[in-house]
Amino acid sequence: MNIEYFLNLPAKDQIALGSATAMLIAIILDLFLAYRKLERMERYLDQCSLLNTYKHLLSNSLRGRLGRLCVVYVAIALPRWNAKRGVVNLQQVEEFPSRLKFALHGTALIGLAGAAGATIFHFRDQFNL
Amino acid sequence: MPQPYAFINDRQQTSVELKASLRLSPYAEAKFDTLNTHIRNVVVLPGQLVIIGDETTAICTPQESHLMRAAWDIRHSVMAAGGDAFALHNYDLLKKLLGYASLGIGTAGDAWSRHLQNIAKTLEEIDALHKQSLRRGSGAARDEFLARRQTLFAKLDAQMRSFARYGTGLRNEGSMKKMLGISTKSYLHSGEIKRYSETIARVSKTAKLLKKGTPLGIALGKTATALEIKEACSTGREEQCRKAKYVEAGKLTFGVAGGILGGQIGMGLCVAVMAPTTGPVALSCLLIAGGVGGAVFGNWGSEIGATAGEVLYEY
Repeated sequence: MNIEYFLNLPAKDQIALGSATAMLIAIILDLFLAYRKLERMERYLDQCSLLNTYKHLLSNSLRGRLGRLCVVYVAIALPRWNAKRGVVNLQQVEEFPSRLKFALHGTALIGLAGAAGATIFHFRDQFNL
Repeated sequence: MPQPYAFINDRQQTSVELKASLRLSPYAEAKFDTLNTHIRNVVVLPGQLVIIGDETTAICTPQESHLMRAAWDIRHSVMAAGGDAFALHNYDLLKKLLGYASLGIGTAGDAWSRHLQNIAKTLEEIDALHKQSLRRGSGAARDEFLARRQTLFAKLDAQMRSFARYGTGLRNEGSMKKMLGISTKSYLHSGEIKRYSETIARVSKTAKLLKKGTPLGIALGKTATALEIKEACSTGREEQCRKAKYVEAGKLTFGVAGGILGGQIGMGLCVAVMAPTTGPVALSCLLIAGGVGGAVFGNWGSEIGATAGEVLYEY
């Protein structure tokens, strides 16, 4: 694979490729976490009403699992805001394994990078790309 | 070179009316009947695929056969989801669920289908209460019946506030009794609440359909991709065919990926903002934000997929 070929591409093509790669990685990680780690993550946060409510509402299907993963991430990403609303147990969130936190933050960041890339690509004319 | 094409019928009409509105040449008209066996001599429902053949040839081309198969598949999918009347009454909902928005709505749709199941459960409780009261007669039992019914009506009212009634087929007609078509006279006469079983059946079917929305949306996207590739391969040179494979596969893959991510972003925002409210408002937020996120990022994902496919093809 010739890396120079990709480096010499126009900026808009590089953004499209980068964004597509990021999206693909994010989806793979998403599916891995939703099917391999979700139950473990939910066990660590079993005293959080936020998770329990949505767990009851969302099923065990692919869509339900992706939704539940999203809820776990919101609980982890905004601990103080959620604690203020009384929907998470702050101690449980703080004791949540850092490896899983890292995996969740990583997936979210890669996914957001892909989404940001797609947004920039769509508005490329305004950005003069 | 003339090509066969297809479109989605947007209103209920007979096949004769539909044919007349197309103003086809006599030659094309004869072929129209051969290609559209799925709608021959029936009322054509909104959402069904109508095929206009290639009139330069009397024989059925491979592309036309492909369109015919797709038309039957679509007919079966819609019918399997609940039959003619259901497809007709919920066409707007179906239309909104298809495409990339369905990926975003998918997750929220899961929650929504559960919400609709809960509504169906409350309706069943109301029905059971009516049947029970009929057996027990009047007096104190009647006061108890009215009090319990009031509680169930309040529960149903909360479950169906504003947007949350979407998909139930129940319209706001003033009082709850009027909306459900309940009157003591009609109940005593027929032994069941008017339109009642249809309402429950409709709610359950919508709930089931919501679960099928995402696979159906992806299946339609897949069919469109296959048709694009097939068209390029049958009309163009080998190069164009190869390029179409890269570009169309990229569009589909990243359209789906973008739709899923967009749906999750929308859902995450709703959970972050509306977590304590798990009622209809939060569900509406999930549905709208999930759908909008899925549709927007699905389309943008499809754009980057096309470009990425083209770059990889050129490489």
